[in-house]
Amino acid sequence: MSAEAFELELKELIIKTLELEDITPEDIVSTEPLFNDGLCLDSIDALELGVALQKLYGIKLDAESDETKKHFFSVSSLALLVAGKQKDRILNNEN
Amino acid sequence: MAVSFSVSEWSGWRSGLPESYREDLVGLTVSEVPDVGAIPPILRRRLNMLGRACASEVLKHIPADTDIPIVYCSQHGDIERTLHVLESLVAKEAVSPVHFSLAVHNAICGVISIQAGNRASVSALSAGQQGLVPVLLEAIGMLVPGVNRVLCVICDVPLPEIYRDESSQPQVPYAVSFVVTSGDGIKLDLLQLAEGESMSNFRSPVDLIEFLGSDKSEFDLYHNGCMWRLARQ
Repeated sequence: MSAEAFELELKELIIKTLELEDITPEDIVSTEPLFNDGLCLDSIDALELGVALQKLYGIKLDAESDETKKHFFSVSSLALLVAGKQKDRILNNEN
Repeated sequence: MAVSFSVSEWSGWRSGLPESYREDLVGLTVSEVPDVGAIPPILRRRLNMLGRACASEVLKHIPADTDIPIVYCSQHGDIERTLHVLESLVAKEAVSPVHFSLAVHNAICGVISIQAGNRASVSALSAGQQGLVPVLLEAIGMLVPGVNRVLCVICDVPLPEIYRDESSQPQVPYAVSFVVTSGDGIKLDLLQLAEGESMSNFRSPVDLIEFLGSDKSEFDLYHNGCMWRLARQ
């Protein structure tokens, strides 16, 4: 899947999971902040999104880690995080 | 035992077809869904049917310039969210943080307070469908020097299928909101029942709207084995 297609998939997941009824994927700019500014999401949204990513992609996140906060900055950074975690998982399974 | 208070404003909403609206129910809105168009979508998404019913009425009575304490009462609370959390636990799935946090009994009033910028306290009660008496007693108890208005709301939605039986109330979503003030317009009195006498007529909180908008002098309430009477003075 191309990076662009994966970002679109994440945008659709964000809209569905967080019930953003008035937002379309086109409204979300991949590089803009998801929280506070930008999309104005809050800490409950971050937790809900973490659970959705865990369910859908099987990745576990540490809610307290600064790394996680960095990765949750935008759709682009989230896409890199999920792709990286999935790669780790595949490599671990192979080993 | 009797206490006096006044009601300065009131409103209500219940789900139904507009043609079932009765003109004598002054202040009652009947529509398919509550009107929460004034709440921006980013906050509105945190409110389901119960939250929207509650918000549609409470927001009518929060003054723009001052804070007002709220007494919130719902028998079942946000039972759909609680059930969702329980179902996740049974399925050994991760619990939704949104459902978990908003299943807390005072969460709906928290969302409403954010929308209205209301910083006063919220008391959240769980009482039966005849919960007007505990709500009134709580509100009257909060009337102290400096606090002469307390905003009350009673709301509920039908129970989810898994909990429902033929006696379950309510059958349609509703919310009733009113402002209790210091005054002596209405007296709430605990009546003595004669031995063997029982009082079992069911009065829904929506019936209060009918009383407040009418010229009727009395409104009887049954609660936990006691008879109470609201009487105009």
